[in-house]
Amino acid sequence: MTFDINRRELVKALGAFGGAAAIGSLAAPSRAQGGPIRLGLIAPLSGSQEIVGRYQLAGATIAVNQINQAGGILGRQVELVTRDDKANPAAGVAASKDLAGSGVNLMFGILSSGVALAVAPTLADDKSVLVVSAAAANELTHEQYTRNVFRSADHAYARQRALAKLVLTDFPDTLNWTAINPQTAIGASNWDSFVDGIAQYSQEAGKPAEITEALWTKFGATDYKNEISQLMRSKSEGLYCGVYGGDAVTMFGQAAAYGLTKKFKVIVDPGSEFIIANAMGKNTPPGLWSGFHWYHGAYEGHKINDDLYNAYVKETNDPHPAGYVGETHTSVLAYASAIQKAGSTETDAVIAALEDLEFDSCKGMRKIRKEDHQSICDLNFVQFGPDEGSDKGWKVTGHRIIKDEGVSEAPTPGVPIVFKHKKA
Amino acid sequence: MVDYVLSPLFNGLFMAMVVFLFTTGLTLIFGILRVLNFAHGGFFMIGAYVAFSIVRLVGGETSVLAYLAISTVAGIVVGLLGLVVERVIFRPLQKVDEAYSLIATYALLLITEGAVKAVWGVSFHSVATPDLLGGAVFAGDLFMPTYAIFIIAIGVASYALLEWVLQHTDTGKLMKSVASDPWMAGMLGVNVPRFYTFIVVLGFFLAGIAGGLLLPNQTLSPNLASTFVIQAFGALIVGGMGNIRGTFLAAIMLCVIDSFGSLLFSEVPGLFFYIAMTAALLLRPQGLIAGARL
Repeated sequence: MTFDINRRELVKALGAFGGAAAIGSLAAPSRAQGGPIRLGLIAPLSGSQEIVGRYQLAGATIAVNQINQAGGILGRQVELVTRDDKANPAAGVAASKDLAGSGVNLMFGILSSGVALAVAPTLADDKSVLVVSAAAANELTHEQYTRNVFRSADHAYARQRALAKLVLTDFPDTLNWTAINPQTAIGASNWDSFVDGIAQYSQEAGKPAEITEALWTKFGATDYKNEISQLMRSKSEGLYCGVYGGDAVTMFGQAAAYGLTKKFKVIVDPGSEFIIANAMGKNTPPGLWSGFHWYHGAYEGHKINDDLYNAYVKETNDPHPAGYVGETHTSVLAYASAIQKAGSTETDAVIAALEDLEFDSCKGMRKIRKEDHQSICDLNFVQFGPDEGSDKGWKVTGHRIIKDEGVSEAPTPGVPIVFKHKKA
Repeated sequence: MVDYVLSPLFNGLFMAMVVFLFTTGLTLIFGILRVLNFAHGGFFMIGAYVAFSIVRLVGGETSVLAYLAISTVAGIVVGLLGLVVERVIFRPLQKVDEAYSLIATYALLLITEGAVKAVWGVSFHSVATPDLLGGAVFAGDLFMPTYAIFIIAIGVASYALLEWVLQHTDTGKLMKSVASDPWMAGMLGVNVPRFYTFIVVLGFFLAGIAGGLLLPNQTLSPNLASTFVIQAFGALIVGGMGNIRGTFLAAIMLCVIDSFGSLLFSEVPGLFFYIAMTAALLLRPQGLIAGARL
């Protein structure tokens, strides 16, 4: 029952974040140097991804409050202005145009890669900057690269290759992998990156892995029984569950009768974070490794991490902040460092300052590469399992930080990413 | 044989019964009141959330009997909501153009989504299948989850019961007569407004009980309202617009074809539902069972 109360409190508290942001959004435009520095958050505050948008808003709000309590940036307070993209590309473009029209040239946030890819080409004309806090598509820093877009979060290539590195370290004999993936751009991008990592690291270990063809499902599918039946007949020992979030909960729920989680030695997912465990409780797949944008438990003792975690828990009573909280928090810190460095909030000055920027964040130091504007940072993973003894029914059974030492690709802005190790 | 025929057939039948259970209330209300209730999914979702809350209240694990009882309670709660909706929304809609019902029920759908967010939040939830239904049955190499067999049985039994009521009872005959000519039924002494209220409450009850029954199969979130809408309206339209038998047959046809299509052409999952729907409408634009209400 404690969990229920916490969840209600979380909703109320996150709602309060929304209320505060709405008031901020109604404030009159101001670009005066003496006025507040206005940062525009674009996030899915309604629609199917609202839950993530609320996390993004929470992280951004905490960062802005912390900065203001510490005296602001260049002696100016920071004001958060929010716009809802509904995880929809058209709504995202409208949100960014609206912000630019309101005099907000410094934007951040965005969950959906589709939204980020739609917004990116419009920024130069609007003389705006966007720091992407979550959208992970590789294209954003490759063929769709634009000077006005930065990504302070990790990207699909780095995360999924790091996941491959993790599983081959922990399960060196699990060398035959298959997948069930959503038929989306990010689903394909994630899988290609994971396969690339598996191929490279297994070859380096002298035990080449084998990849069985992935199954593709409709995003938002309601029934996975055909796919589960096929997976049950698979000879693979490792399962990459590319369906994520609510879809993964549905898939694992339907797979229980088949014993899917017992069939595979290792099951990984690209980034559902706490969603599967929170929804499934004691039915959480044992040993499931999940990718995280930021896992607070991995950085205990690091001041930025601890302050963010404590502020979040104080506001929400939720002890499990999603990684999205950390990533919008990080984007605000990136702007704070860049504005401080530039001594200005003008677009060109901030772009120049963000390039090659090194700054501290909730998961340690990050560097934004000058060439492609991609952040190089730690990659976080958490392992879950059921816990009959707790109210919530699950527990974290392990976590891992993979340093990005050769995990990310070399910067090639304007050029599609090359999966050097993945066979066609 | 098992991999490419029996397994997709079984899975397609299961999905068909899921869609049919979801659609029965919608079909009933459209067949009699001619109100295309866009909010149907919203009340299905509320039924699922009510059942979820009761399951949590009783400790998370349920027997099959308790699961059925909880689903029935969810149906009753949603049926009572239907009583309010009939009085406040559907009754006034009887006097205006049908187009207004689309707008009004869409608005009602948004209200249900907002209400669910306010009461239960936006997090994902799930409920495990009752232990007795959590296993599986093997027929040779064919793997059939017990829960799927149970839902297929419930779907077929629901259809059989509705058919029997419609074809062989006075209530059924009354329903069909009001559906085909409410004015004449009124002239012959039927209290049509009260009858409409009964149908709406019954339709909402069916939505709520379906929400409870299908709870272990789906993830709970405020998006659940729209999860089956496409399949439901597909079955409703292909079935002949408001005909229970047509909806039942259409659900089976569309879902089984989709199941085979998704297996054989896995790179285009879900596409075959639309191909089957388009083909059915081109070949039989009047629907599988045409001309007969209910």
